[in-house]
Amino acid sequence: MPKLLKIFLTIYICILPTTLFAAELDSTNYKIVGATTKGGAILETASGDYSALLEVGRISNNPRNYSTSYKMLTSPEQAFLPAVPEVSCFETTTSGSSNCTTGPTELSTGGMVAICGPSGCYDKARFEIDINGNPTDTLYAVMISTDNFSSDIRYIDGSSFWPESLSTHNLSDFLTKTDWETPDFNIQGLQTATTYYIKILALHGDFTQTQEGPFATATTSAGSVFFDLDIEDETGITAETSSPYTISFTGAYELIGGSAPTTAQDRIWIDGSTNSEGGFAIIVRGVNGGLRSNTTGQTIVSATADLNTASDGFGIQSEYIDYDTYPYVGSITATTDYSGTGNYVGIVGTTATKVYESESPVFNGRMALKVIAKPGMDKTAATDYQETMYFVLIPRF
Amino acid sequence: MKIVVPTLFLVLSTAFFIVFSAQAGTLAAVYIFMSRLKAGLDGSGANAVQFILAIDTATTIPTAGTITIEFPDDEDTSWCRTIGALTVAGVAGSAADLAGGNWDIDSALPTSGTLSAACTQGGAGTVDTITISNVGALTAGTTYGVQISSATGVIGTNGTTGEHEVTITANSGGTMDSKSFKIYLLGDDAVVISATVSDMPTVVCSISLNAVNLGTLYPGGAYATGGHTISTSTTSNGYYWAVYGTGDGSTDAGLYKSTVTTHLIASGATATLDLTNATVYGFGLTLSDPDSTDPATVAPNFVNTTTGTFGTIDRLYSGAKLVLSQSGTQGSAENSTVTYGARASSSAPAGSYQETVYWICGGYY
Repeated sequence: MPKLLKIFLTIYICILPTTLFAAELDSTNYKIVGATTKGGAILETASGDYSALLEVGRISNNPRNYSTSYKMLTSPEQAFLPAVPEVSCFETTTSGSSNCTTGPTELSTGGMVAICGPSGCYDKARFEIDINGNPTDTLYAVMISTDNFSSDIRYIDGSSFWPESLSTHNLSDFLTKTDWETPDFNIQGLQTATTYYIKILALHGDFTQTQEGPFATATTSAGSVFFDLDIEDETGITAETSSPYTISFTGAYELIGGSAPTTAQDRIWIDGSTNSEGGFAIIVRGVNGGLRSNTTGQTIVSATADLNTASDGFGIQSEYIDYDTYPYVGSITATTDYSGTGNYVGIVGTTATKVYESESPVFNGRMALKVIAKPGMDKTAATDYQETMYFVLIPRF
Repeated sequence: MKIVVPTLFLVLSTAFFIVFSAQAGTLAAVYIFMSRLKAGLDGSGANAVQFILAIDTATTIPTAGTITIEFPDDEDTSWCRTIGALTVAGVAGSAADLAGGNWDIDSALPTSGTLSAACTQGGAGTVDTITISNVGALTAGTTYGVQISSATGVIGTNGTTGEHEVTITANSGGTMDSKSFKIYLLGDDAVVISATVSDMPTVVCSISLNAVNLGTLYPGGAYATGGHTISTSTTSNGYYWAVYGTGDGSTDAGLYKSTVTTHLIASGATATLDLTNATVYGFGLTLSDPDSTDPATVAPNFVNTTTGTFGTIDRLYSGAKLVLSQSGTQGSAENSTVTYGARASSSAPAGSYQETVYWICGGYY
């Protein structure tokens, strides 16, 4: 029993050393917490970034000393302590509105979705500081955690705005409200689909770092991507069709050996949306490298070419691109080979080729591709010329 | 002391690990370029699936690490269709690269020894996982590429269309970066283009003679005739013949004496010439109907049904007149007889007269 008592006592001392010798001296009006019995004081410089003023024998500056009307300052520097800041907004996936007020207009009116893309931000966030009347040169540091600061306690780096460990946190991670809120995304490098907690503390001169303010939470998006194919004629901007997806050069669109290029009646319509920061790429790959006839063994070979001048060929050409216009998200462009006019086509080869690209998130992208073919005079008549094209959308997170 | 010191050590050690528990960083950039996005591919034959992974860590990951691709827990055995080794190789670029950004592969995935990869299936509490081993040191800010395809292990796709969350983790000795994101599977990722190619339509035209002698015309005398045949076949939707003359080179088509004293037996301004009429002079031609049972039609002014009446022609291409046409293919060659007729006026000087008549043949396509 004595041994167990010693173990318990030792653990208790190690975990809660500050409470062991404290004694609360309650009264009706005042409460003194943390009074100790030893006197003396030392001033100790711990590093280039911090100074610690250690005093014992005085009344603790524990916040529990405060009342509604009065605050007991336990040392001269307490007179300069800034107000504890609060988080006025911390957002990742807001849509249609925002509590953030100092960011871009698009954020204020459309929420984080308007500046991060569909479903919001998956790896970054924005917070703003309620300074509670502090002077403008007050500095603030931001704590971040995924478990409400139980075991995961990190800070936001003042340069990269990525979370950093306590070991790399230093004075350069204290910024003014303006400096924190100038970047649109002042927290970056977050994990997807994760709830984050942040707290803010203030500093206004040596030995004036406040306790942390109340926490705020936000959950990052899990990422978002959408891709769809449809087959319809050139008027099919809003058409939605089901597979199998086929386009035929038959009837009035039958190919005639040695004739001028023919554009198929139907188009390949593509839907693409994502909130991936690197946008997306849409890739095409063919099975045969052209329109191949098993009957004749001949192939109208696909190539990037102007079919007006080429004797023979097959390919695709971008005809239509549209997307929702948000200044903070991206646009879609056809790559050079596929953005020609007339009968200039891009290759559908057996190796993958990029047809469309966005460099940032895209809302409601809609694209259409023409299919154009020109059989040369050497092509023998047959009804089974065919190519299978595979389309792939790659979001870049 | 026997109790206090070890206990104190235990408590401090525990506190240390609490404070310094590892926090996985997020990958700076990542994409998976799948060769197929069709849901439910079993990975065999034409349904094979390949991955190109581009990965940029935010933290430098030491050598001898691994990269894992993990799939949702409720999709076990659909991504890793067969357990086993996969084919793996570093790649220095891909079609999905975004030039100039973090999503632009800088170099092939480094190795520590020989890269290997394997596909394992999930079960209770585990997920389908592709693990790449023997990965060399990954430098933060550098984007590496690696391609994975089926070998003993077989990669497929889940059978449900829509978004699927995957998690990529680079790990070595507890230093790790990871990121979860979505990929999208379609019910069908293929567009099939089919075509009928027909032979180029042809039209074959021929003229039996290139020189026709009308003999001697006597001033004020009877009209003379001469002729040849034209032959036509076509695989197009029809054919036509048109004709124009040369004449004196300035006023009209017709038989022209170019030597002194020059003279033109003009084809004339009227549509036809009835050379049986003693007061009518000039130059014209007729054609016979190639086949009364098919749609070939001789232009009304040039029919040969009225003896001695000939259609007139004009000079130059701009004056060409359609003389024979047919709507519809003509599999075998059919002929039409062309008859030229001319009559000289009493004032026509003696000499040699000539007209060059140009015949134009074409198809309707």
